[in-house]
Amino acid sequence: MLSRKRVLLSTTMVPLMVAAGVAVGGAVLSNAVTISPAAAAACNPCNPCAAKKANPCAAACNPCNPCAAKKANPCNPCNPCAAKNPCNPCNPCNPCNPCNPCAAGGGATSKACFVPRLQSAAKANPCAAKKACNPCNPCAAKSACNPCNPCAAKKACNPCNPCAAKSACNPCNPCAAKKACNPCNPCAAKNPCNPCAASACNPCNPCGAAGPVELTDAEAVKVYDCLSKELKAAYAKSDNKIAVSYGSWPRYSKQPYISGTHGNRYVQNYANETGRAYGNFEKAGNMPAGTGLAKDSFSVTPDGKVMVGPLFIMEKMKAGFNADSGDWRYTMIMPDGSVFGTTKGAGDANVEFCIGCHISVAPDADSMMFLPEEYRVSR
Amino acid sequence: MRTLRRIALAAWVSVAWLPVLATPAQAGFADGLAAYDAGDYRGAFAEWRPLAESGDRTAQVAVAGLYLSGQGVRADVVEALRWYHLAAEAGDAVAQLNLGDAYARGIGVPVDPVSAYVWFSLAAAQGRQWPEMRRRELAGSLHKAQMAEAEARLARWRADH
Repeated sequence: MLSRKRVLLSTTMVPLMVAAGVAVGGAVLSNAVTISPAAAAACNPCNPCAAKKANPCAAACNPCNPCAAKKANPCNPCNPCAAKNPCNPCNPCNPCNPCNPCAAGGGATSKACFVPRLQSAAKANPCAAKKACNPCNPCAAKSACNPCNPCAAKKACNPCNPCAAKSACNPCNPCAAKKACNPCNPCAAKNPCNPCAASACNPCNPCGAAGPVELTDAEAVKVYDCLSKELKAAYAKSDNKIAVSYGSWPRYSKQPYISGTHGNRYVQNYANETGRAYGNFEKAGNMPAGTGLAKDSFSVTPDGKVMVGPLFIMEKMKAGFNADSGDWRYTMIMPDGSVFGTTKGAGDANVEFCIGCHISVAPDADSMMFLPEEYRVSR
Repeated sequence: MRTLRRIALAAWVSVAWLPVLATPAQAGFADGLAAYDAGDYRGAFAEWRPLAESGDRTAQVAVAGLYLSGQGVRADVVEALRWYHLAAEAGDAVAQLNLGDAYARGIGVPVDPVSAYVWFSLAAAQGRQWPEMRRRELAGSLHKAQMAEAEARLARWRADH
C-alpha cells in the first residue's frame, strides 16, 4: 500500500492539486481584479469606513479609508502612506516640500499672519531647515544623539534635547541635579514637595518656562491686527457668549504683550462695561457681579509662524457663587472652540489651577492680575 | 422590603466605584490643561495622549488640537483629523464641528461640502449655534444631488448611532 505522502506526490494527484490551486488562485485573483477598481468607492464592502453604512466620513481623505492611501496623489496630506514611503516626495525628511504637513504648518497655524523678520532669518540660515529644535525636523525628532542635532550635542538643559527630557532625574543630568526650579528640570513640575509645583503661575515653574519669541512692539501690533479676525472666528466656535462678544468691549492694553502667567503668550486685555473699573487697575477694588474680563492670546514660533492661543475668561458672579474663587467663574476657550472646564460647571476640576493662580494675588486685588504699566490704557 | 434593600445595595455597589475610576483620568486631564495653559505643550501631550488612547473623547479632542497646531508634537493634520474622527464618531460636538470646518475649508482634506454639511448638521443637532450657522450657509450652495447625499448619510448615521 502506498503511503499517504506517496499518494500526494503521485503523478495523478500533483496535476490535480496544481489545477485546483490555479482554479482557487484564479478565483481569488479575479475577485481582486474586480474589487480593486471599486476599492476607491465608499460603498465597497471591503472598505471599513463604508462598512459602517451610515458613516458620513466615507470620504477619500478619511484616514480610516484604506482607499485614501492608494489615491494617485502621493502629496495628498490625507494619504497616510505619504509620510512613510521614503521615495515619496511628501516624506517628512524633506521639510521644504509643501506636501509635508510639518513644513506646511498645522491647520491651527495662521496662513495669513506671520512675522517676516523671523521668517527671513530662518530662510537666511541655510541650516534653518535642519534646525534641531524645529519640531518639523525629522532629525531632531528621531535621535537626540544624532550628530545633526546641535541641541543634543551642545546643551543638556536645552529643552530641545530629548535626552534631558527623558532622564531629568538622572544624576548625569546637571539640570536635574542642581536646581528644582530650573526650567530644564522636568521633575520640578511633578514633585508636589517642590515649591515650583505649588503655584502654576510661579515664574520658576518649568510649566511656564517655554521661552517666548520676542517681537518688537510694531511687530506685535501688526501680528495682532492681522490675526484679530482669526482669533474671534476661532473662539466663536465655542458658542460662549463672551467669546462671541468680547471683541466689542473696551480694551485695556495698548498692544499685545507677553504674559508670563499665561504660558508666555502674547495677550490683550478686555473688560465689559460692568467691569469698567478694571481701568483703575490696582485701585479697581472689588469688581461688581456681571463683570467680564477676557484675554485673547497668540504665540509665535522661532521661524515666524503665528498661532492662535486660548481665550482666558473671568466672570464675576453673584455673591455666594463660589467662595474659593472669590465668586469668579473661570473659563478657558481653546483655539478649536473646546471648553474643557468652567468653574462650578462642566469640567470644574480642570480649571481649578486658574483659581489657585489668581487667588495668590494681593487680597485687595480681587483675584485680578494686571498688565505691565507701560502697556496700560486708562479709561 | 429585603428585596428593595438588596436592589439599593446592588445599585450603590455598582456606582460606588465610578469616582475611583474617574478620578485619575480627570486628574490627568486637568494636569494636561494646566500644562497647556502654562505653555508646556509637551507636558500637555504627555498627559492627554494616553487618555485619548484609552477612549476619553475630551482628551481625543485635546490631542487633535495639539496635532493641528504642532504644539508639543510635530504638526500632523492627518493625525489631528483622525483624533477628531474618533471623538466625532463618539458624539463629541466640538470634534464634529471641527471636522465640518476641515471639510468646508480643505484643511488636511480636499474641500468636500457634503461631508462638511453632514458634520455641521450632527454638531448643530446637539444645540450648537456655530455649526448651525455654517450648515445654513452651506445648504444654499449645495446642489440637489449633494443635499440628497448628505441627507442620506445623516439618516444612515442616525440609524447607526
